[in-house]
Amino acid sequence: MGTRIEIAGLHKAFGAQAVLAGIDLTVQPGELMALLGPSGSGKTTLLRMIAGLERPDRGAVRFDDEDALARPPRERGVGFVFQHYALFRHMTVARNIGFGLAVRKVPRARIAEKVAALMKRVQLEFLAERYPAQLSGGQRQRVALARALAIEPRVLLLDEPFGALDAVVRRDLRRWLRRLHREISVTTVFVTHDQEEAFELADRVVVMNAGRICQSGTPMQLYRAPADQFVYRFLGEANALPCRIENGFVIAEPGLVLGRAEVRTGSGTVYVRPHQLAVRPDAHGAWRIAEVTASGPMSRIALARGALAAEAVLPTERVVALGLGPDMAVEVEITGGMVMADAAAAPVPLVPVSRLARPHLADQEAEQRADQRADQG
Amino acid sequence: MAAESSAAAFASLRGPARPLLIGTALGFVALFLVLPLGVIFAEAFSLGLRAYAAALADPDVRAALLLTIFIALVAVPLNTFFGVAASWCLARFRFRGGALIVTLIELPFSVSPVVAGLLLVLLFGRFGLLGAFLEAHGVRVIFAVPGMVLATIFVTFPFVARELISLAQAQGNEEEEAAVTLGASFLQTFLQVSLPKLRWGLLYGVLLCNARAIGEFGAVSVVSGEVPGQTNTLPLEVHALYSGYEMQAAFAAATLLAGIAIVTLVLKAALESRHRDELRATRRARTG
Repeated sequence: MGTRIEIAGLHKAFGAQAVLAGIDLTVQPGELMALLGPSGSGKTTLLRMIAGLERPDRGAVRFDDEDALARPPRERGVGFVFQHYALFRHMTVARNIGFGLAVRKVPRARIAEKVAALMKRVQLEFLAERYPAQLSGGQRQRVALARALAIEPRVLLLDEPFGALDAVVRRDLRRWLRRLHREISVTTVFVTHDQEEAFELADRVVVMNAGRICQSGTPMQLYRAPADQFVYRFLGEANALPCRIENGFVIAEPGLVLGRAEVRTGSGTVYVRPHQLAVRPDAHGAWRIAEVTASGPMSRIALARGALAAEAVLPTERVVALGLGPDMAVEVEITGGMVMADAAAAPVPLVPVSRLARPHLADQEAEQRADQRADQG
Repeated sequence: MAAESSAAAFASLRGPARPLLIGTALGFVALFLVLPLGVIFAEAFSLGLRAYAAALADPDVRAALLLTIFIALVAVPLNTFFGVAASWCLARFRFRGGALIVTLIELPFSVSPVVAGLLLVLLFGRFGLLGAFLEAHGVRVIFAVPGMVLATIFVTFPFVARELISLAQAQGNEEEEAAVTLGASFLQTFLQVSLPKLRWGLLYGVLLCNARAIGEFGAVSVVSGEVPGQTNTLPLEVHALYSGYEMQAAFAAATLLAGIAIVTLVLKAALESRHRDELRATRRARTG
C-alpha cells in the first residue's frame, strides 16, 4: 500500500525571504494531492523538500513515522518528475527508464524485463532506442514518469507535470495520469498553478500562498466554501461588486438588491463568477451590454449598470439564440456568489434574490420604497 | 533558428550572387588552407623520398617528436582534469568569485605566449622568485623539460575549461538531481550523467587543447634553451632547421606536425559520424 507523508512545522528562508512559513500537512496513503498556488507561493520548494533536493531550516518530514530528513535523497525512494523532465539527453529512452535500476545493480535481464513492461504501460514501446530530443513533449513527460516509477517509489512527486505542454496533450495526459494512479495507487503529490488541472486530477487540493497553506480540501469543498478571499479568487475568475449589507440584505447599488447573506450590517464586496450571471434581453432592463467577445464555445459579455461593471460568460450558442449584441438593454440575474464583509475574515455564500421566498423580498422592497418616500418627504 | 533563416535566404538567392559567394568561400579555403598544406608536402618531397626519410630519421628530429608527444601527454590530461573540475564546480554551486574565476581561466588567451614564457623565467629561473630554492634542491625548471611542460599547460589551460563551463552552465543541474532521486551515488552521477552530457564539448576542448599543445612555439621557446636533441619540440626543431637553411629537412619535420593535425581531424570526423544520431539529438536539445 501507499506511504503516508507527514509534514510538520516546515520553515525555509532564502536569505531574508521566507519561502515556507510553517507548513503542516498530511498526505494519506495512496492519495493524489495537488499543491496549488501562484508562482512564488512555495509549492515547488515544499515538493523539493519532500524529495530531499532542498533542506528545511526547521520542521519534520516523515514517511510512515520514519524520519525522511535523516535520509539523503537517493535513499528516500521518491520518484520525482521534473517540470522540464530532466531526461538524460545522452541516453536512449530505454536506458533512461532503466537508470534507477542500473545504479542499484539490478541484473541486466531483470532491468530489460522491467523497462519493457514500463514502456508498455506508458505506451512508448516503439520508442525504446530514441533519444529524448527526438520525442515530443508528451512523450518525454511519459518517459520521465516511467523512469520515476521504475524504482517503485514510495512516493511520487511531480513538479508542474503538464506545464510545458499544449492544451490537447495536456488534457489527454491528465486523464491518463488519473487512470494510472488508480491502477498503482502510489501516494502522489503534484504541483500546479492551474486550478482546472488541480480540480480535475486531485483527490484533495492544497491551496498555498506566500509560504503558507490557505486551505486544503476536496475540489468541491474548496469551491463551495473557500476559506478566504485569496482562495476564492484563485479558484476562478470573479466579478467584484462593492456593496452595502443592511439587516442581512446585500445591496450593490441604491435599489439593486442582490440577495441575502449572514453578515452584519456594514460595507463589503460581492464576488460573482462570470457563469453565475444570467443575461436575457429586456427592453426595460437596467443593464446594458458594453461588448461581446466570442472565444470558441463560450462568449464573454461585458455588462454595465451605471457605475457597476461585470462580466458574464455564456455559451456562444445561447448568445446567438438570444441575439445579444453591444448597446442592448438586458436584465441580469445573479444565481450565486460570495459576500466578503470588510469586517469579516471569511466570505459567506450569497443567497440570490431569485432563490428568496417571494413574500420576503416583497417585504424588503416595500420597506425600501417606504424608506425612499420617507427620505423624499 | 538564425542559421535556418539565413540558409533559407541563401537558397532564395537569384542570379550570379550564389556562385559568386560559393566561389569566394572556396577560393579563400584554397588560398589559405589547401595551398600552404600542399607547399609543405611538395617542399618536403622535393629532394625525393630518400631525402625525406633521411630527414625524419635524424636523431634530433626524432627526439623533438618524442618530446612534443611527451609534453602533450602531460599537459592535455592535466588541463582536461582542471577543466572538468572547474566547470563542474561552477555549474553546480553558486559562490562569490565565480565570475572572477571564469575571467582568470581565460587569462592565458589574452596574454602573449612570449610573456607567459618570461613569466615562468621570472618565477623559476636562476634569479627568479623560486630559483634559489629550486637550485638548492637540484631541480631545473627553466631551460629544461619541466619548464616546457609548465609553459604548455599555461598556454593551453583555457581550451577545455572554457568549452565546458559555458556548456555545463547552459545544461543546468536538473539531470543530476534526477539521477540522485533515482538512487545514484555521487560517483555514479558524475560518471554516468555529468561527464557524458558534456562529452562532445569535452572532445572538442581536448582536440583544441592538444593541437595547441603540439603546435605551441612562443612560450615554449622562451623556456626551452633550444638544445637540439634535448629541449627542442617539433615546432622549435622546424624553426631551427629553417634558420639553418635546411629547407627540405625543415619541411619534412613540418609534415609530421601537419600529419598530426590531419589525423586529429579525421578522428574527430569519424567519431562524429559514428555517433551521428546522438549528436544530432543532443545538438537539437542544446539549441531548442
